[in-house]
Amino acid sequence: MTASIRAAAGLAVALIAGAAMAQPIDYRVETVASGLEHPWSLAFLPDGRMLVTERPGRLRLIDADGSLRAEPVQGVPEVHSGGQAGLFEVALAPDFEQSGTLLLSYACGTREQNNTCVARARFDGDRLRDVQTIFTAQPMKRGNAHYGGRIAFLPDGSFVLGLGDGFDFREQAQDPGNHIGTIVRLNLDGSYPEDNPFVGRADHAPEVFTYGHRNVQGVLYDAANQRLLAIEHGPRGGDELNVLEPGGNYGWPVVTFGLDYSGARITPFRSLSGFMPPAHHWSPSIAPAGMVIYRGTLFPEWDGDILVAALTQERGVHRMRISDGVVKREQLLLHDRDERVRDVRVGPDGSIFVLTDLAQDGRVLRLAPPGR
Amino acid sequence: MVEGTGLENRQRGNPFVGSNPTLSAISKRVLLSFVGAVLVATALGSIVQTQFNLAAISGLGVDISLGTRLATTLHDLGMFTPVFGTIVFATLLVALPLAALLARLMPALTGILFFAAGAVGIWVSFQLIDALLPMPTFIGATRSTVGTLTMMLAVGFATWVFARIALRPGR
Repeated sequence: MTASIRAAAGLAVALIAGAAMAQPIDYRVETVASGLEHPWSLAFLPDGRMLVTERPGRLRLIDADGSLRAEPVQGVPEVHSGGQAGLFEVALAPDFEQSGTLLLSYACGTREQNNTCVARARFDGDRLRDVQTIFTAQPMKRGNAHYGGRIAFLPDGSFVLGLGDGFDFREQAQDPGNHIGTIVRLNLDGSYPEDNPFVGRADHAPEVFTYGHRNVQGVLYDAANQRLLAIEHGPRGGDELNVLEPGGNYGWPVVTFGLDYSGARITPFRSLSGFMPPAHHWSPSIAPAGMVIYRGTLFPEWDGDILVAALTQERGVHRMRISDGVVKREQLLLHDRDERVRDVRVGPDGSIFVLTDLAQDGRVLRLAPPGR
Repeated sequence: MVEGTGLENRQRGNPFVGSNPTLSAISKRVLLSFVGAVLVATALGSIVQTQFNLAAISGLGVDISLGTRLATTLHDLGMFTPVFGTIVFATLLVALPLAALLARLMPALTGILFFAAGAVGIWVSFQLIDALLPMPTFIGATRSTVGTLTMMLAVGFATWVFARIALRPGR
């Protein structure tokens, strides 16, 4: 793929942001594809191609030679778009090579009645087939903000989906009886696993895995450490990295390190007994919108580090390391570009792929060591 | 003894209209009253929105002590007021002259007009801000009708007081 990259973007030198780094690590940045409209999520197909979602509701295909197909993939369900609403995640099922199954998360419904949906489909190499909505977050609500949307598969074949509080409904995040402000765990057919934490409990939705979240836009399963991590947007400050425990209440809006955008306190409390504290919080906010754990050979020094896409403030990719339960930022990648970064992924060859969040010229970037 | 034949006493029944102070005295009084109205509206609005935010948290079953309530209210008076004060200032800059103009046409309704100028004016500002900014609702307390009405009441009260002071008969 490297040979067919449209444009090379020179050498970037990493900055040391934390005291822990001993040496700056060089990397180069290549533009794989451009001209995308708010690209949101990226998936690597086994044949070397890539699927990229565009928030307005398109699924685009990038061929193995790096060329972006002009025609979107057909079969994408109708999405509710506008504001933060639209098409979000594309996630390949663990058995994708055999089944062609993938999941799409998206905002569904109307301006007055909408929430986050998940559709399962079969990608036949050209278009989506057998598209079926397997989950609709409840209740439906008005507006076009805070949908969550990120998906991560677990070793047992189930998946977790981060959701949002719909912005105006933040108190609902404390009610595990609905899906607002929660992370749900589902099977590929949309049913809930019987070992979900609230199964069989009155006034609790059985799909809920954790609750008390504001707007979860990053979930990942760290297989080496057998832990589930999630990032969520805080308001003005209070972005969080959480280690998820089944049934955990992560506090929003009762406890937060953030203030409302107006400067007012949303709550007097930063911590309280009974609420899970974040493993790390960003104050001021970086707007974390995507997350991946680095496993690969191209950057061996980064093995096990968490890469977080940031939309605001210190835009770029924050490379974080969790050591003895302490989270430290090691490096800010792409800081010199000052672009909103929506998602970050690790490619099959160990290079890092990044989606920049622009309305007309969103790009897929590839980061690799110099000369690779 | 109070002089009972002055011009100011000919406008009985409407305390807002009728005096003959100098132009500079009027300007000074109006200006000070305007500043006062902005400050009062901002402070009242801040205090109101804090109580709504705290009510939402306590409604989730969390106890909020009086000390915490006071500390949060004070925090917001420091952190919320700069931006809200700017909103109030811009609102009243438009709304109060408009109310004064209408009051000339309908002097009997002066008090109501100035109250409405503040209350409706801040509502219009809330709508504009929420339409223009990325976040759906800029001020959390205005997510509910009751919260919005109470914020309107706070600003309306301040502009009503403004009229009482700025337009009172001269001495």
